[in-house]
Amino acid sequence: MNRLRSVHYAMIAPAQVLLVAFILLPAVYVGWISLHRWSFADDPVFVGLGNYAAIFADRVFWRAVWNTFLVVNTVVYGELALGLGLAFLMAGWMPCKKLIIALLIAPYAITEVSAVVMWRTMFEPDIGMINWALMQIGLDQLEWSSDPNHALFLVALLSIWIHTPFTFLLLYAAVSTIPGEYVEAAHIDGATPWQTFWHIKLRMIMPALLIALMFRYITAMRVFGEVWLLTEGGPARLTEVLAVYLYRQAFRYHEFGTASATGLAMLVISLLIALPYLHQMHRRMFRHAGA
Amino acid sequence: MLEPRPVAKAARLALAVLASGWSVLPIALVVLASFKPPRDIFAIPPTLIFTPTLENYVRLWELWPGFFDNMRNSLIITAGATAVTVAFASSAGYVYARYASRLLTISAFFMIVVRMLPPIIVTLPLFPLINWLRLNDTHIVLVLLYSTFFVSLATWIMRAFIEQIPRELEEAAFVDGANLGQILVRVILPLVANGLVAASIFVLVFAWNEYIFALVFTTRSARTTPLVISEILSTVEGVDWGILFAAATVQLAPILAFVIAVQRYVIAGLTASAVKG
Amino acid sequence: MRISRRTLLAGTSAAALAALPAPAVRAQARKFVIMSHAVHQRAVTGTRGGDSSAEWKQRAGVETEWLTFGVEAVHERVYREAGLAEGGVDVAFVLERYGGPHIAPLFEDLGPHQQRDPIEDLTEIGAGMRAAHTYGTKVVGIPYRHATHGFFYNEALLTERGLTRPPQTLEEVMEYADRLSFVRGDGTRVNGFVTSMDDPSGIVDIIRGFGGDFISRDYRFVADAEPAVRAITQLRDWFRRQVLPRNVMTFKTEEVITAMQQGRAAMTNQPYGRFDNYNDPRQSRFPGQIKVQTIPALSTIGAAGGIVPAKTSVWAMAIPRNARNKELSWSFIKEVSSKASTIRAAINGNGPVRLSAYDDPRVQELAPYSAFERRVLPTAMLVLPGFEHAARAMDIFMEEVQRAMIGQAEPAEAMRSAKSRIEPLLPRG
Repeated sequence: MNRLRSVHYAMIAPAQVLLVAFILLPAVYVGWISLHRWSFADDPVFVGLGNYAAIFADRVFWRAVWNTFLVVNTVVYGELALGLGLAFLMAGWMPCKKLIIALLIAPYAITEVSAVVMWRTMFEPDIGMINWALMQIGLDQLEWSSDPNHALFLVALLSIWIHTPFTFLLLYAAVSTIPGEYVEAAHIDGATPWQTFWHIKLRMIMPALLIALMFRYITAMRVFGEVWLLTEGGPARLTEVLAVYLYRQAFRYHEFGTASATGLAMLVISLLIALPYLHQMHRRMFRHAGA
Repeated sequence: MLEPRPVAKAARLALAVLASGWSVLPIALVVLASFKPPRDIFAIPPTLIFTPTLENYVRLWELWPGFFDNMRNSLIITAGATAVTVAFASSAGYVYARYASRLLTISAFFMIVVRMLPPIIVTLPLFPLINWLRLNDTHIVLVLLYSTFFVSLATWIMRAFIEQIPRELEEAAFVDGANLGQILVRVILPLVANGLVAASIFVLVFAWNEYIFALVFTTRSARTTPLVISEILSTVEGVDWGILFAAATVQLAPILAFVIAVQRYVIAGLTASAVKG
Repeated sequence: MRISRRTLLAGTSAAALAALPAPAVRAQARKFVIMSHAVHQRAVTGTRGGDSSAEWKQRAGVETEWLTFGVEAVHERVYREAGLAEGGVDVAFVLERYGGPHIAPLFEDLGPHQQRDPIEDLTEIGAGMRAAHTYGTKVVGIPYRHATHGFFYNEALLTERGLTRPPQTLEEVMEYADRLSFVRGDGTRVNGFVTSMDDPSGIVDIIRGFGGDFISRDYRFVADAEPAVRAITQLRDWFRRQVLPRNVMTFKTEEVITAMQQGRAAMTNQPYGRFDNYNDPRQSRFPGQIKVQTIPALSTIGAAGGIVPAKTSVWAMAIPRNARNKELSWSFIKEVSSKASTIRAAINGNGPVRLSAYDDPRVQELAPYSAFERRVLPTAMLVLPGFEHAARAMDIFMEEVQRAMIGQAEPAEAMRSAKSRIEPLLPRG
């Protein structure tokens, strides 16, 4: 029964057909659109690589690339650190564990709009409770409305808040499967807690860590709602990220050519980021195939 | 497990309380605000003691009667997308767990790489196509789209889960004369119930909250709740925050309850898949 | 709690079956489909003034179906639907700000319909409003609703600062704005002035108050001229001195409304129709105390105490080019554009596009500001004249204005930069 038969191809077919029909084919068409000037009422006009030239010549595009880079890295690693910390915390001694886990994963369920509205209120200058608290302890307020760096920081914080449950769940699952014997053996051999953590625990959850990292990199690249609903890319479009740039092209200016070009640029950037992980996965899978 | 010292216990507990606070505070504020009289919602300093009122919920009911119909749409679409995703992912996951070939490896790669395209961009070419197929404003179109974007992750989880089931079980059933379909339904699926929950939770939450596809592909019969929430937010006469927060609470409650109820299975399911990668 | 796999499987497969058959709505009897924002439905069918479409429905023998969306979403949908080979929308409400000549081909030319079966006294609707939805000679939309800016002030806060009458000139507005930026007894910080910053509609009034403009009617970028630069310098100083709130850069209409309702801002420029929101006892902490008048201009321009040609925007009814029965669509537009319907809609809370509606005693009673609004309507102006890249030009302009306000560029320098980036987008000739 271990021979691969056509029925097995038929079994992977439904999933593959969905991906081909709703992502791959449209993507090819998007590639075609990216070579044309096209809006709602016009017929597409071939412009070659003109759309790419147009976005690459736009300083806002490069600012968006840079902001995306900053936000994505802050968010992904921030989340990883937080998720990992929480995973180890929850895997150890803890009363009311279920209740606390439930509270920790709650942000995962909320719609972006409500989350952003509340965060805005909490961070309102002078009167929002967080900014008020910062003032009380003698710190400066977060001027997210007028200072682009503060704004990006808030965007990252909000994004981490929304997505940490995903990372936490993946990592918690991995951490709770570390066999106790390994840790005890290391303990008996005189390993410090730090050594145990670094050499044993972290290594054992590395596959899960990589999955979390890759999936979050891919999805974080599209960070949109957090920025759009918080600052719309302002002040002065200094906090714009790629997805917001794309949204403006497609939904504000109705320029589908430049929007498509931006979309493909995002795909290429995602691929570049994911390349090391894909490479690793490829090695593992071919080993698997050879076995 | 080793029992930690009291100081360590206190520190752990303090950290957990802090982390839970950070998670829950904004949500609690939304829910709390939905029970405040509208003029007090943004009052400074915040009114902590107030007489809770259902006024916002009543007005949501009166002014946005469609909201509750749309919740039914959300329910149908979410359930449909979850079912389709899990069904497709289980059958594909089984093959990826049990068989290997170059073609399979390539197709597995394809599943990951294709997901890197920003979803918003495929709305452009899909809109005319979906209209031509007369699928616009139907539940099916959203069911299929949401499934598409989560079938990769779900397949990954199912594959890892199925890998853990000893092959002997299948072989025994095979010897007893069961065919592949029977083996899948009677042997495999019962053993991966946790995996099914884990694989479904992500698409479920996504489908419940998704906005852009719903905006582009539905008009009325298949309209979902996030659209209504954003319409409440995009009025030309000023936002009624009380109604908005009431709607957000109504929309949040079922999914939050569900996520909390199934967290155990999600974690169990992920535990199986996470280690294997 | 334990979910048995049987229930889970049964539940999900039942749900899958339920999802499969397409809804039968499409097959139902043909309805007359109107795509709009929710306010249009309320204006046409509201109960206070009466349903202007009721009689028409009986005569035409059709049922209407309103599909309502948020402001940006409704345009997105209308344009997409109109681009299809076969259309499902009979009448669409669109805002000039989202239109432009590149959108015009998606819609029926209404000129011939007006010739064939004219709307009564169409010229009563201001020429500027009609021009907002006319591209070349093609009439794309018939104006239905306008949102024109007035000057709102919180009388209670004025009194608190010893100001006994509203400002009559822009100089006075500046003086008042400083006086009204203070911390109240209960610790509330009040900002003297507030406006929306997500598009130029808020600040264009101030620029015009100084005698400047953004883009002239003959498509020249003029915001680099001295009056506009002075206005932007004033905005920057206001921002620095916290006359404007510290987070004004992210203020959209919603934030302006909340700030006014909560008494955290004393003055603003907003559509007259907001009067009800500001004074709504449910939401406002100052019900009945927020007043409105025309926006004052600098005393040195025009007559003393002259008013600013306030910003207006115009919603119009259009027929998608793929509508199934265009005569029927036109008869609907004609019906709800009549004088009687305009009055009914105004009573339902609509900004009437016909001046005669302001003479109706019920309208005057329900909208105490109608005298002001009527006065400004003949001179009111769009944010900018329509052209293909208007949305892009507005984004660039706001980017440069904000750059000047947060101190990343001098106002004059920012406007020169805006000019060089916007000029290539303007139509030639």
